[in-house]
Amino acid sequence: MSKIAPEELERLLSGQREAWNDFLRRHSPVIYAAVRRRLTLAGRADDCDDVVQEVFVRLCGRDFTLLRRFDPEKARLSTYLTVIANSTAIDHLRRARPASRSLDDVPEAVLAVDPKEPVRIVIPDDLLSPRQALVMELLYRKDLDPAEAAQVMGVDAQTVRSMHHKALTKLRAHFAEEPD
Amino acid sequence: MEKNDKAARLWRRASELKPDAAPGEPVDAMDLAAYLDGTMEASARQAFEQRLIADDTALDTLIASRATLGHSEAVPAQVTARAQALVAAPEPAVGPRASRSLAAWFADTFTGPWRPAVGVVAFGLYALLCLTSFELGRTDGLPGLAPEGPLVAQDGGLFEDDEGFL
Repeated sequence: MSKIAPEELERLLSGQREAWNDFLRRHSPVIYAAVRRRLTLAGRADDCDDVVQEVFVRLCGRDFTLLRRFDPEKARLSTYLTVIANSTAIDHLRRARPASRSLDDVPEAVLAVDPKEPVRIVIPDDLLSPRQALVMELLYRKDLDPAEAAQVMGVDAQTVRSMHHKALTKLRAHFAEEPD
Repeated sequence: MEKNDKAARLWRRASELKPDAAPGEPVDAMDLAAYLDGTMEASARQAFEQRLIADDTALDTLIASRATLGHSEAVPAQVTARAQALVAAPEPAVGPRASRSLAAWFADTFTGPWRPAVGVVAFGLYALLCLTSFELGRTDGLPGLAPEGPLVAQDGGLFEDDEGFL
């Protein structure tokens, strides 16, 4: 686990310029890579430099609040910085995106030519476990394949397929649909 | 069982008909990092996954972070320069330091290993001052300093011969 030495963190949090420059030298390549890849996927690679600067502003802003929250016992610093970099990039993309709604987010009943009042079937909260629901979200709403979903969740692909099967079985039983 | 369109429609229906979850606390970056590194405790993972489903931004951040984890790229010089400028260089010490008292200056200058030498140096300077003053007071061999006339007036002046200092 890549750690930041306590004395190094202390120097950084005290606002010493040399400590900040050293931090940049060691960790900005991870931040830059995360931002550039995320923005390139969205076709906004030109915004990279500004968004990277925004990441650094967040890191040292409010007396280094984000860095003070880092706990080396819970995660690697590189992982923490990657999360912050991607979060900043995603926030930037959402701000830049014109207000619109994906067709996938619109209920089918609204799109139907002859809209009918849907039969109100209550889905119990505990119908699917959180892990099964997460698998379904990743596979169908985020359109990942089982291997990608497995990587996100930190499990193997077979576990994802198994949870997918169990979730569908429960949903079909609840909606009383015919299986494939 | 692989993904299929019928299953996709089924999940979409289930999502639409599920009651909206009350907005909870925003997902913390530290928790996301712990989940990605696999260090989150099993007991906390279920609740965290529940929160992920309800927080689309956090879920997108998780997916994007997993895809970029472990990657690094060289940073352009202008990006580094901009980032470095965020933390200012320390200001040079002026003002109050210049108006320190002489005692404070001595205290700062002669500290540590030099402190024992202070007394020796001071005594030496004092001795030298005394000797120098004594030498300056003497008049032998210094014609320019010799008085032109007798020091005591002939008529007695201020002191009688048999008087002296007590």
